[in-house]
Amino acid sequence: MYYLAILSSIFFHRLFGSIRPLSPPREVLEIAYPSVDDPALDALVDEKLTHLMAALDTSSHSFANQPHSESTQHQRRAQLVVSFFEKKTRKAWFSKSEEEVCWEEWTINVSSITPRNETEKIRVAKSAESQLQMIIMKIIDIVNDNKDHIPPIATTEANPFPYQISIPSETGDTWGSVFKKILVE
Amino acid sequence: MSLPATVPAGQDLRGPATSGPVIGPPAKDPSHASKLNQVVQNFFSKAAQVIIQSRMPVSPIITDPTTIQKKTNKWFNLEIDETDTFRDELRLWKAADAALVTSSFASLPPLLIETVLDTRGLTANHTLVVLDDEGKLWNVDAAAAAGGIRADIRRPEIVLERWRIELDPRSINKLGLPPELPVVYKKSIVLFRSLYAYVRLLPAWRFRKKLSKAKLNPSSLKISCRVLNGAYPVSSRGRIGLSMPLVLNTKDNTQNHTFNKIDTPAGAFTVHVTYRTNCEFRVDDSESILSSHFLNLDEHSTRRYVSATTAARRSRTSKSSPANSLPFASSPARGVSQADPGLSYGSLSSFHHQSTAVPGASPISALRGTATGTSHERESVTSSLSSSPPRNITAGTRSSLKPIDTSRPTVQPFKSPALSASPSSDSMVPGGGSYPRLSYHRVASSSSISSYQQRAQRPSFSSTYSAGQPRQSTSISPINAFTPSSALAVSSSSVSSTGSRPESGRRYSSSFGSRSQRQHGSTSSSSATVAVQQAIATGSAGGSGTPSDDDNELGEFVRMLDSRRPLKLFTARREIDALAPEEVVGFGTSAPRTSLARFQQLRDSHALLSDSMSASVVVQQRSPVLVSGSYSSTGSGGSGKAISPHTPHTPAIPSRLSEGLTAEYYRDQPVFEDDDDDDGLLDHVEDDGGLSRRRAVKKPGLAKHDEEDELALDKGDSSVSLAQASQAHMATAVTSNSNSCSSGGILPGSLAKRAALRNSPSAGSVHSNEVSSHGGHFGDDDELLFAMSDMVIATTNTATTPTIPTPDPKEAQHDTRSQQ
Repeated sequence: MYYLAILSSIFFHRLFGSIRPLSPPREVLEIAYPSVDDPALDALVDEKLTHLMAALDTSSHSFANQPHSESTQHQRRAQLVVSFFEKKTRKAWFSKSEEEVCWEEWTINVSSITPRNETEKIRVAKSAESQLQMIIMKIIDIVNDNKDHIPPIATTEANPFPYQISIPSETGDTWGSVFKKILVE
Repeated sequence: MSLPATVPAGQDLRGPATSGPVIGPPAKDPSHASKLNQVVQNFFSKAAQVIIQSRMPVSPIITDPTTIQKKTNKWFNLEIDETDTFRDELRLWKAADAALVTSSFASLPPLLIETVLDTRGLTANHTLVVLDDEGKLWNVDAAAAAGGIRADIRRPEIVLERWRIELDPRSINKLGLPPELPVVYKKSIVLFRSLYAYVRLLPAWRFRKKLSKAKLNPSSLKISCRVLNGAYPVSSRGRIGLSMPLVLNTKDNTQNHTFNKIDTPAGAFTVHVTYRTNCEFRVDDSESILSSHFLNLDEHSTRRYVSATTAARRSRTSKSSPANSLPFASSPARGVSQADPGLSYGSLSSFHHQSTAVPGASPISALRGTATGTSHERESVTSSLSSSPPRNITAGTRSSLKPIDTSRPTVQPFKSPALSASPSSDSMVPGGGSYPRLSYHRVASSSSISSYQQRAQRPSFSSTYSAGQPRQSTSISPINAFTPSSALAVSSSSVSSTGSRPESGRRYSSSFGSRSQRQHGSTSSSSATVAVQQAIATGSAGGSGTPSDDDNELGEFVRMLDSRRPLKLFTARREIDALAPEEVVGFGTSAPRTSLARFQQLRDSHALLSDSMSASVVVQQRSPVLVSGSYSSTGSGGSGKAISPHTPHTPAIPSRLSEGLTAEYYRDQPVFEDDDDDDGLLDHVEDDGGLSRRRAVKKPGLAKHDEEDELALDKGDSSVSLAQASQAHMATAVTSNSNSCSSGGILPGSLAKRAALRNSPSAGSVHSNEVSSHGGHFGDDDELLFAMSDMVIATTNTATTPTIPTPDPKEAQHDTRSQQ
């Protein structure tokens, strides 16, 4: 599944604790992507992807048929957001509050296309493969280019930066209402 | 310079336990310096590890032999196994002293790691080619020659990548504060993750994966790494360097990538890589390269066939050494070919008979002449290279090829325009005229077998098959090579050709040279013909270069076949004639009118072939009587009446194979009864020889079901059964042979394999296993024909190299066991 590849790559690059990469790496369409050898993370990602698929199905953004011939596909869209937080302790007058400040957010736009015939299927598969390769390379580039905003690593925990995977709905609900807080301590 | 000591405690970066850094506040210079050294040393070492471990197998360091605990390198928060590969070479960087680096720029040279493709395992019969983005093959040696390397010696190495890891002291920012080590470490974490991921996205990774996947036929190619000191210039002498373009139709053979630099107090870490974009190397037989070469030439005229060919080519385990080629591959031809880099595929030049230059020889005839010689079964399915033209054209083709050689600098041998351009140097027909003919040939898309077989022998066939084809020149008509684009035609042609020619062994001795002398069209053992032709195709790598050698070897082989063949063939023919004269159409007569007849012929030929092979290879177990008996059943055309229904009693088969077969047959029988005439297949009362025949019986009946199924998909029963039946022939013969050495367990295993499709006879599946193990990819629609041809080749090879079946059945056994 493509999104698993993307998510795995993101986490591979952004889990700053000491990780062990999965070797041999997982692959999709012969594209090897790195993943962290962590079953808990895998479970979380799987769960999130299930939600994503559900969100896709119920997506209210189904495009009507468009004039050109191959547009009779039903396109569904959703978004997947992965956020990384930094724990900051804020010292107030009388209390210390731990605050989590998001220092990076990855937004993955997901759209699913249902090919209607064989040729389209092939075309879609090909474009998906090249897109995936591009995306994984792009993740590497992004990660390499922007290193300065990463907060200092203050702990020796396995994962110094808590993260969240969320699927914001398109209805414009607030963060609070649609968030599923899954914080890994 | 004093380092800032005001790093808050909270920012201490404590590295992981095992071999990670412990970087505290950089309060003290010595401690900081040592930590910096550690960071630098480990940066180099770990970068090298990541790269090397992803390209070649390394030996891990075992810290605790009892628990096989491997030492882990956890530096930069990336856990990888620690190895001591290249320890000596990396010593320079592992002992880096950051202070020295700052003071003397030359103290720590860049670390260069090259990924190279080791071609030392290739023999002269191999041709190394590389695939480009469109699937075209490019001959490596030719391209190298075009680039200025001497072409007579194959280079032992081809550089695939070059990594450069450097600590550049010149980019120290002297004005601001030096970067803090924790930041450096943190950024290095990011870098190493990226490096680890990136290394696996490069073409060399994919190529390595493909190499390691070919377990059945381990490739003779190897990927290895080399650690170099970047202080010295890298010389690519004696090897094909990165800058040598191997794919000549694109400008950029290599690409670069640089990871963002990481500033450290001692300089800036940079990691840079230059890599080849096309790393899909293949090892092919010289002949197959030749035909594919011509395919490429023809590309613009019949693009789809080219793509089909490349697909077919890819489907093969092309990396395998040509185990299927007969041992008569003539090395001398290789030598010749090497001297002709312009033709690059070596085999092409080998086909050159530096003999008569027939004026007006067209590229087509050249193609034809060479194509026939290069029939590697799977390769040439789509190769429209038709059968060899009549002798004068054959000679002419070679001569016409010569100009290509000489005009090497100006000719792109892999492009059709080059070929069409070459007429200037020869009296070849201008491209305009040749191309239509080429395309005509292409459309034929006959397997090499058919091309061989149709060589000027069966006018009836040509008329049959070329019915839909534009006859563009009279020179083509005698060739009879052009089967219609349908695969059916291919099979038919091969069938017909097998049925028709009584070729003597001598006929096949040289693909091109002697062929001109030997185009008899008698109806000798068809199976032998098929086998021999294929043997020639596969084995005679550039055989024409030294026809005498090929002649001798091939002649021996064919004689061996011939020794047995006449008996069976004639017997069979008599039988068939007696039983169903109207069905034995293709047998030495005019073209069969029905695919049924064609399949019958194919089956017959296969049966004969298997018989010959088993006779030649195995001492006992064969009795000609069975052969005739089987043929009689075959001749009955699938009615199965000639064959007694499968009776659940142990057949009087002496070999273990038979026993296994028997059991499996019983098991399979119910399934077969779904189809008509299945019973005939299951009658294995007689010994192995008869078994194969009986399996063949199935063919007609199934063929009746759906004649076109053979070409259709593997779901088509008839096609599958046909293939299986054919395989059964081979398998029986082969397995009988092998079973004398191996256990009968193979059969059950092979049965299991085939059971998925239909419960084919065990022998059939055994053979399919064997065929697969021989390198043919079976199971796909279009590849059915290949498989059939492959089977013949395989059986041919088995016959000639009796040792082969022994390991194969074991392999098949192993495969089938796992399937079970």
